[in-house]
Amino acid sequence: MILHFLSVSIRPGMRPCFVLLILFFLGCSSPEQMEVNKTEDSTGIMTDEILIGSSLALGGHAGYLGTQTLQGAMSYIRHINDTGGIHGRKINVITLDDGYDPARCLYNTQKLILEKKVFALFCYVGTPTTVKIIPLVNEAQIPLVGMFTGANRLRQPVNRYLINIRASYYQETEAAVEFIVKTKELDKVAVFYQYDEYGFDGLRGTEIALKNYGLLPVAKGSYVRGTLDVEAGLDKIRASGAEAVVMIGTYDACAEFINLARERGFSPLFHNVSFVGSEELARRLGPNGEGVIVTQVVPPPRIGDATEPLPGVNEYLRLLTTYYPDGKPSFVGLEGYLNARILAEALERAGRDITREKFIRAVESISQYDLGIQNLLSFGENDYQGLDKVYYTVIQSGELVLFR
Amino acid sequence: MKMFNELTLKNKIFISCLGFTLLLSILIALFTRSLLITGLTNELKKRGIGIAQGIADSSRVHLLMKSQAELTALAYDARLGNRKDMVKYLIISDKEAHILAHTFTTGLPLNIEEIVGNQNIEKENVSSITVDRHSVFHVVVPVEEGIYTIGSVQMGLDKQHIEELIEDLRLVFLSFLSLVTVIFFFLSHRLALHITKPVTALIRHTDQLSEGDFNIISKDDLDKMILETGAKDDELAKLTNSFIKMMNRLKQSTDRLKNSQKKYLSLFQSGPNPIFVVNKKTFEILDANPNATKLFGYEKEEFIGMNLFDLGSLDDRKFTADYPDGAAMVISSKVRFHKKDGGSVFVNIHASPSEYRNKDVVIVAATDISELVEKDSQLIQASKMTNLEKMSAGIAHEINQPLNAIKMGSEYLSMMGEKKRKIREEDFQMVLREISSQVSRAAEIVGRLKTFSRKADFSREVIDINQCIRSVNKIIGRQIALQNIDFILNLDETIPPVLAHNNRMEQVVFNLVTNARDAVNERIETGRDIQRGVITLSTFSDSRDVGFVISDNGTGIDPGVMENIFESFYTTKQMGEGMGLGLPIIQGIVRDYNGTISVSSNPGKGTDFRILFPAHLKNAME
Repeated sequence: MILHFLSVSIRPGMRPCFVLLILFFLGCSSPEQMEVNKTEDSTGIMTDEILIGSSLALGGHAGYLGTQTLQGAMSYIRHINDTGGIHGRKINVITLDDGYDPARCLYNTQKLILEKKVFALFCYVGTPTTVKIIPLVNEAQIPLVGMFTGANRLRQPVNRYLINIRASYYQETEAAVEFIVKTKELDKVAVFYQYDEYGFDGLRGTEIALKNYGLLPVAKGSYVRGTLDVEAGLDKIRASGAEAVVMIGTYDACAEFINLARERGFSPLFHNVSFVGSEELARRLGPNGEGVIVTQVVPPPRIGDATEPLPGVNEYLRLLTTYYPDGKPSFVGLEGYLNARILAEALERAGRDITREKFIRAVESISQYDLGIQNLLSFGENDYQGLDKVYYTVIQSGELVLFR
Repeated sequence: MKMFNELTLKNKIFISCLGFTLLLSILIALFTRSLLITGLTNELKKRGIGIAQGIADSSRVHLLMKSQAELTALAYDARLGNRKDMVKYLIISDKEAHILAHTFTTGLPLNIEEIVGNQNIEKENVSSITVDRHSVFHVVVPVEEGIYTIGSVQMGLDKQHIEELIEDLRLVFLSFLSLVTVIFFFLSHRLALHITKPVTALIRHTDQLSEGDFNIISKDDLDKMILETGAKDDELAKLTNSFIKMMNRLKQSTDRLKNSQKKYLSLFQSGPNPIFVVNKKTFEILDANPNATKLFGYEKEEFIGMNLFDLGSLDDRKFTADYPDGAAMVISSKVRFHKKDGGSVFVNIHASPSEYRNKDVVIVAATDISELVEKDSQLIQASKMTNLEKMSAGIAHEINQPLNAIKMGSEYLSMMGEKKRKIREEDFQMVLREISSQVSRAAEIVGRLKTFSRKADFSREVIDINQCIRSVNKIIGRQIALQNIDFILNLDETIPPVLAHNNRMEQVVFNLVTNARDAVNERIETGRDIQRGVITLSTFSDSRDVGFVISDNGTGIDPGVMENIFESFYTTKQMGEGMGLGLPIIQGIVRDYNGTISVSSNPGKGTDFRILFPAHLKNAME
């Protein structure tokens, strides 16, 4: 069309105008802003040491979760270090306690990235905390491996810096609802949840699962993180006549809820997600814990419990005893252990000449990886969650027994 | 500008429209852009300040408790979601400007502590700085507790955000401009065409017209023209209509002109008289009709380029006089022109000014009056003969005297011889002398007669009027005196000569004198109120003319008769006494010599005839 104009308007005055116009057109496009590519970053890689950072709840009302995770992870890592490290480097895990407080977690993470200059982040605990540092992870383009949380926000939208090992809360609540509604044929389901990101996530998952059966939660009750103010929620749920309660909380509040409920003669089917801290929950419930369902993302950390031998579990137990003789095996600990397994595997695969980008690509290459727990782990492009299996356990005599 | 003026109207309109629209669009775009930039910048600042204020509010308690974790969490909150692009960084400082919390995940910029330190944290302000090679608005909002400032929230607003927006806008604007240009390119093109197409069509038709092609005014062509010009009811239609009307009238005029031309051409070609078209200034002959060739013998091509005065003698003063428009003037009568073969013709020249082929010309028609002149001459001759009759008595009387004297003398001698008487010598000599002188006298009389009757030669001579008058007096003076009439001559000897012929001038004088004598005699016979008649002849001159007056105390001329006296064959005399040709002939002769004749009379008392001729001055043409 422009050529047509040029041919039509051969008058001398017109051509320059058109040329100008065209130039104008072209000149107006703005230059692309080129981001400095930092993914070939090898911060935190020393000659003989790889710095790994972790901020987790080592104290406070959720301190059990953090310490357990760390114990499990360190069992394996110390084992690796003692056997020559990875490509001649030892893994040095710098830990900071955030007390399950998102602000502290954020602050700690900033410190780890900025001051400590860690290569990767590792073994974070909790939804509100981990979710809080997502902007930092994206900005620093630093990988985070292994989070003790099934939050959807860490999985969707897909983020290659957030490397999840465990199955998600959506998967857990889906399994729970299936058991409750389908198997147990209960349709009056209530939700008791921690009033934060964690609780909301679980609530959402439950609602989605219930919707598939054309059901709505009959009641929703909540409590504030770090408190034991469960009564308001309990009353609401009790009043609704719920037959089952899906609980998204931590061991302290959930134990309080169940104990109170039983005291008041309200005994629906209780279900908890794995984050609750199963062993601690069982301990706090005592006899009230009988029949309480807990969905798990890892098999029970006990030998002989499963139908098939689980060499992965065996190794966890062995290494835990080696490095933490006083430590008690737990689901949380096993998770931590598996986190460490993956961290080490990826570091190994990335090679000596390692960068963050190479590390992530190494993670992506882990496919159908046998952790020895009868649960194959796979990553890939657009899949940054390794495990998908959900296990059903029930508290029997203070012990979490696998069923189904 | 000159280049612009050289464009066609269509292009002028087109380029003007386009140029104006473009200019306007650019101006609007620039104006809007600057408005937008200012607006966006202010908006950005406002938003930034808003966010900072929010953070400042929330951070108050944490500042007091110095909990860096909470402050850091707050700081990062400021950059959640969409704000990430706008808020480049956020810093919370204490009142000593120590950085307590910040969002520089990957590392503090080099100069940031300095920047923070330099800020006035007591008051809200915005400044423009560069951090990490980014251009930002640095917003400072104090955190207050009561009236004291306990810290500050300092936030960097990324200008790039706005700049990117503006880049996008620029693209939009340019697309808009281009679209406008494209549209207006078409529109102004069409507009220009619409305006100029009829004009172009009109121009084409006008050009056809000016080349004399009138064939376009057929009805079909008219319709076509109206269609072509696309004229409906607007000014162009009116112009077209006027144009068509004008063309029609023009065609009519041209047709009339053509017809007229044909008419005049045929007149020119077939006119019975020779007609010349002569350049008014140079008298060069531009055209001649066939009759000119017939009369003069020169072919047309030979005529062209000749000067009119080559053909014959003309008084050019007559030509240079101012003509009233279109009036024909008799220039000359009885002008002699020369034929090619050397012969001559006499013509009357009529001339009138005209325009011929864009030149001022004179149309000169020549009437061949050679025959007329011949007849005129013959008439004059005849008149002379008539006069001769009158003269014969006088002549006879005059000649008788000398003859008597001679007879007496010779008879005396004869008688003396017969009587054989001796004559005395002195007596003998006396008689012989007397006889000789009387013979001379008779011879003189005869001689005068001879010259009188001779037909005049047509080249004019320089003559003295006084002399003519004297000659006439010699012929007729005595006779008049015998009739008891006083013939008085008052001759001014200082008068200049004139161009004429002696004998014809004499004829004029003679004729007037005899008329005067007849009038006086009639008065004496019939009126009986005078005893003696008086005829007075006076000559005079002034700066231009020479003339004479003949006065008599005869019967005079009645007023009713006065107007007829110069008419041919008009006479008051009895049958056989005069033909009535005298005065007309005299008038003719006088006019021939470019003179004038005028008469005044007192009936019953007398008559004056006044004759004037142009003086022949030394430098006049012959």
